[in-house]
Amino acid sequence: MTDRRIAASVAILALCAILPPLGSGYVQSVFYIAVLYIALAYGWNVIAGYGGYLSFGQVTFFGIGAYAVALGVTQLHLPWLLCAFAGGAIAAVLAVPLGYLMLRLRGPFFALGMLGLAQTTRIAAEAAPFTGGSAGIYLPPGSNTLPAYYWTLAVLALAMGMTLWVDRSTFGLRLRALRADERAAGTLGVDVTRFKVMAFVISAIVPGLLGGGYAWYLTYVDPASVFSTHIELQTVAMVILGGVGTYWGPFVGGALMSQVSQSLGARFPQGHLMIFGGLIVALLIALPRGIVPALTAALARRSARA
Amino acid sequence: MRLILLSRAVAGAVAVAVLGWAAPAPIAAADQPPIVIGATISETGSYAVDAKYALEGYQLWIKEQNAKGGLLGRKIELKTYDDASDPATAVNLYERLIDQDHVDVIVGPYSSAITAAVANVAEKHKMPMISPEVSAAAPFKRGLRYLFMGIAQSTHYVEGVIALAKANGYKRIAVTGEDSAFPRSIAGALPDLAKAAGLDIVYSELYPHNASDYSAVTQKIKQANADALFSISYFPDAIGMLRALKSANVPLKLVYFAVGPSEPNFGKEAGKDADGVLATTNWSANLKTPNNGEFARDFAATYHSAPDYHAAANYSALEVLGAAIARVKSLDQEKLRDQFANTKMQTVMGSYEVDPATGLQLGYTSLTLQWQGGKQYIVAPPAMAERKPIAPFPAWSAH
Repeated sequence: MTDRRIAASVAILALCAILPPLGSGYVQSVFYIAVLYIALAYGWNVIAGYGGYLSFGQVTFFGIGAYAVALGVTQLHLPWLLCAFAGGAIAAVLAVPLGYLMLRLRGPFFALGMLGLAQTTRIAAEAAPFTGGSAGIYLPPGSNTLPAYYWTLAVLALAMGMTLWVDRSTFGLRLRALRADERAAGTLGVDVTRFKVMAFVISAIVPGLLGGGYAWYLTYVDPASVFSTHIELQTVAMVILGGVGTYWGPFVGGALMSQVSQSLGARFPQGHLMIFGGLIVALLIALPRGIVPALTAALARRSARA
Repeated sequence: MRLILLSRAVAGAVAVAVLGWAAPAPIAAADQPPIVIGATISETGSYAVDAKYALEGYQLWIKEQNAKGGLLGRKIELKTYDDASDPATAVNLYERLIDQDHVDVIVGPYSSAITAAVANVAEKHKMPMISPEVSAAAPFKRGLRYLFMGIAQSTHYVEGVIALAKANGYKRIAVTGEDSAFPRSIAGALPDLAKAAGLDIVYSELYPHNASDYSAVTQKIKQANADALFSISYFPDAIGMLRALKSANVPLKLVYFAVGPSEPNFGKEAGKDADGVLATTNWSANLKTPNNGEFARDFAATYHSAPDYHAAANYSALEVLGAAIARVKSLDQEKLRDQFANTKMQTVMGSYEVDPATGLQLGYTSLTLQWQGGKQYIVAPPAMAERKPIAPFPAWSAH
């Protein structure tokens, strides 16, 4: 079972690595956006899916990663890849105290608290003296689609690997136990806070690493476009659509949503958001737990009958 | 037999009539595909309100031009997508416009963030792009060859007002405004501009967005004994500040509110207190530029609202594009680029002229407006002024 997941993941990642250079700039940018969102969805799925802590603020770490590259390249004249790594590291280091602080909140309070955190960071980035404020930071121009894409694909591989580990390890088991009933898990000896914070850190590293690639892709960073609620909500919707707390959920939800949203946007420039919203609502009413759990259940029924 | 002949004759006549009817029309348009202009517009998301005017500016020019027979004997078509105010989506869609839709020319999107990202796509495909919605200089100082500024540089924003203060010897300047992105950027640039003009900033503090009480700020301005007030305000806060200044009877010789008083409703709301108030805009229906009156009238008739400067900027970007295509008589991107870089021409916005090396706008300039007798007039720059500025600001008791 697990071996098959590894083989399938490697095959998909290999395809994603081979195909884009053969296509046009448009194809490459389509791949970039899809892989970016799928990777963000994997990052979010650890704390929200396995840990049960719905967060509306992981984009905070995405923004921090983006600023790490923007500032590192323009101020310190460092190579962007190094800065992108640093972005992930900074996100991880910041996530430890933030996690201890924020994970005291539960349910909707945590979700709202994280939303507040993202807004606060955004305002801080607008006001700080070294970020260029709302005017943003311009990186050297250039067509960086492929380098940014391969970086993002590498982060996706890491995120899928970490998810697989969470899914199979006792760490993941404990995480799911505290998702089911935090107090009960605590009385059974699970060090609840430590595992929650660990999950939170994983869910911060992934967007932290991705933000740097995004800065390099756009060659411009401003608070509104990297601490973006648009990015956060897209990510959340993708995981919910695909199946929260499943291994394939983020992939299916992310791939489907980014493709459908892009082709709808191109075909119906006027009403695309309405159609898209309607589709999501209809899908979620039909499959309230998401696509992947519904498919798994259908397959299980079939094999039980056979 | 006769009947058949008759019917044949009738059929023949009908055929001739139909063909004859249809023949003359399509000489120009039908046998040639239209010229397709591609762009993204932020129809949804945070920029949607202003971006609507930008889109309508593009649409109106194309409608008018098609009514005049199009360009190079071909109809013109606008192909736009909604970038949802998201730069990554915009990059994707410009790639799509160029690679999939094979548009003939591109024009700029809305906002600096999106333009900065999309400029790389234009550069990669060597397609020149006039950007009518980016007034910051930074995007043009990156060595890009195919990006051109189609609006006045933001550094001109307070120039006319600074000059007025300097000319009248109003040396003590108070600076305030709403604490948000745009006001902060203008207020942040003021110390250098004031210093260069030999003026002193005696008070500087911003008030929060959605403030309801301005008495504290006005008291501090009064205590600072300022001659001139530079308040970078939108509509509601400009009205609020004006009322607070009057009730505290702050003796000012110059009152400037940046954005708020450029709206026609300001006069209605503020009544006589508006008299003497200064504002900045990038375009006015009063400008005596070619076709400006026609543009404002057609816009209002088509979209049932008066155009704003976004509409004028996007409209004039296509004026420049259209003139360039007509002059080089082709869609050769390199030739169009050279036209954008070297053309000097009059548009509804003023005189289009860019620095050929950077694409920075040199010709267009911001306009200083003043309310006089319940109406807005352009008072600076002098070449475009309708009236002389009134200075000093009338005493509050005279309002």
